[in-house]
Amino acid sequence: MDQLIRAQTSPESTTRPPIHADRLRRLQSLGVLCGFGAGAWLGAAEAPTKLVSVGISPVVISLLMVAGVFLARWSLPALVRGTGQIGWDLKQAPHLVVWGVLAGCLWAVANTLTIFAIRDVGLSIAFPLWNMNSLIGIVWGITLFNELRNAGALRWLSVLGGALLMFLGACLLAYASAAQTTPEHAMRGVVAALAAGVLWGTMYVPYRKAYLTGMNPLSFVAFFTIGELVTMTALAISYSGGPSPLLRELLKVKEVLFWLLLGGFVWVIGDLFQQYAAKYVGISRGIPLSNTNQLWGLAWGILVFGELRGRGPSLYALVIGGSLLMAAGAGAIAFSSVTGKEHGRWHEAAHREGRRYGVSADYVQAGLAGEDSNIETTGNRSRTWLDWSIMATVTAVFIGLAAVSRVPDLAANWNAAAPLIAVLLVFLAACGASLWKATRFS
Amino acid sequence: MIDAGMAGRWRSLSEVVLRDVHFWIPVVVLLGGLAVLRWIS
Repeated sequence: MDQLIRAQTSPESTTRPPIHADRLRRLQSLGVLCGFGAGAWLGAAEAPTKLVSVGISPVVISLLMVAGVFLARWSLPALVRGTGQIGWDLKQAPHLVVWGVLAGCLWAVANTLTIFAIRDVGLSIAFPLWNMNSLIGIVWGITLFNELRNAGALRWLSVLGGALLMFLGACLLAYASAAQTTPEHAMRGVVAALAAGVLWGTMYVPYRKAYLTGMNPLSFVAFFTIGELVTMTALAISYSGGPSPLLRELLKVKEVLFWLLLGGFVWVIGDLFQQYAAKYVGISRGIPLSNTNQLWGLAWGILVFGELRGRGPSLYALVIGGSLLMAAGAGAIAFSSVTGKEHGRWHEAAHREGRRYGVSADYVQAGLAGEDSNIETTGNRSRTWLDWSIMATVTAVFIGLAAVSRVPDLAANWNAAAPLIAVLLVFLAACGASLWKATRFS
Repeated sequence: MIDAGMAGRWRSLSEVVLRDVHFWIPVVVLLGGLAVLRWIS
């Protein structure tokens, strides 16, 4: 192994220039925008979990959403950059395959826990509990990856104070809607939601590991989704009592397959923005920003699905107060930019990873600067037959499922959904265009 | 995409991954999550 590491380019001997302060500021603004975009898309992706209320097994919902995630996580990278990028990243940092698969396993278990939590205590209580993942992420960011080191007292106050405000806001929102639930298994649901928060908060350790070392988020999610699908399939078979009962259950819900897979697809768009946020502003800032998904989840719940309807004005005051607290916390974190000194500590952590795993210093440096590490493909990414085949297959799957689907029997105000969908599209356009202009999706 | 040299490199790298203390943090958390899942369901 020592020979292997020596065979690599010395991590410190990069031929790439240092990152200019203007470039750093641009990447940070991009990360903050992606964090907010992630919040909007991840919040919208919670809507399919309402199907748990029409009698579909939580594990089946989770499995089908993961199937949608799997399709999206191979087709979107093929569309945006081509699968050739994945092969390049694989050659540069093969160890990240292990980390990607591990992160996928964590996600699958956490997602299953959230569905049990929603069943037992309701979305409005479970959501803020698992959103404590941002606090876990901050701890890992500081202790493992030098985030907030040499950042100054003001920035520590902004990030920790902002995260605390968001947590308090989340608790208020939970309290506001707790009155409408009569959970039979409250303790079980609370434990499930908290465990999901710990799993998701820890899942950002592999994320940060990958992006500090220079991997492209679009490549990382492709490996991630393998762990995710394998774990989820194993869990689903185990909970259903074998492959045959699972298959029977899947056939029973074929009319809503499309909606669940679509939910997974929407989730992936949010997750991709979250990945770019984690890459460019770190996990201690990126996760709290993407946790604004709770606000969007609440907006969907109240406006589209009629949650809290008929409640008194004091309840709405609590909801508005909680939302404002969360927004203030997110604002404090968004304005807490990374200083040059702190970014220097990120570099130390990045090159430590490079030395440990024998990754080329140029590759690591290009990743930190948001640039394409493969000079041969910069600005010239043609799609192969494999890329077009993946996109055609995924499109055919969605068209086929849509053809046999029906709108689920859920009371929903689709007029109210229209402006929320418009906001999603605005975020998609803004984040997509900014990522393209600044980094070409690097 | 994957040749013999890369396969050897992966074997070596997996040894480094197992020696990386950071690796065991998510592993322990994952096992804890599976235990909770078993308990609640």
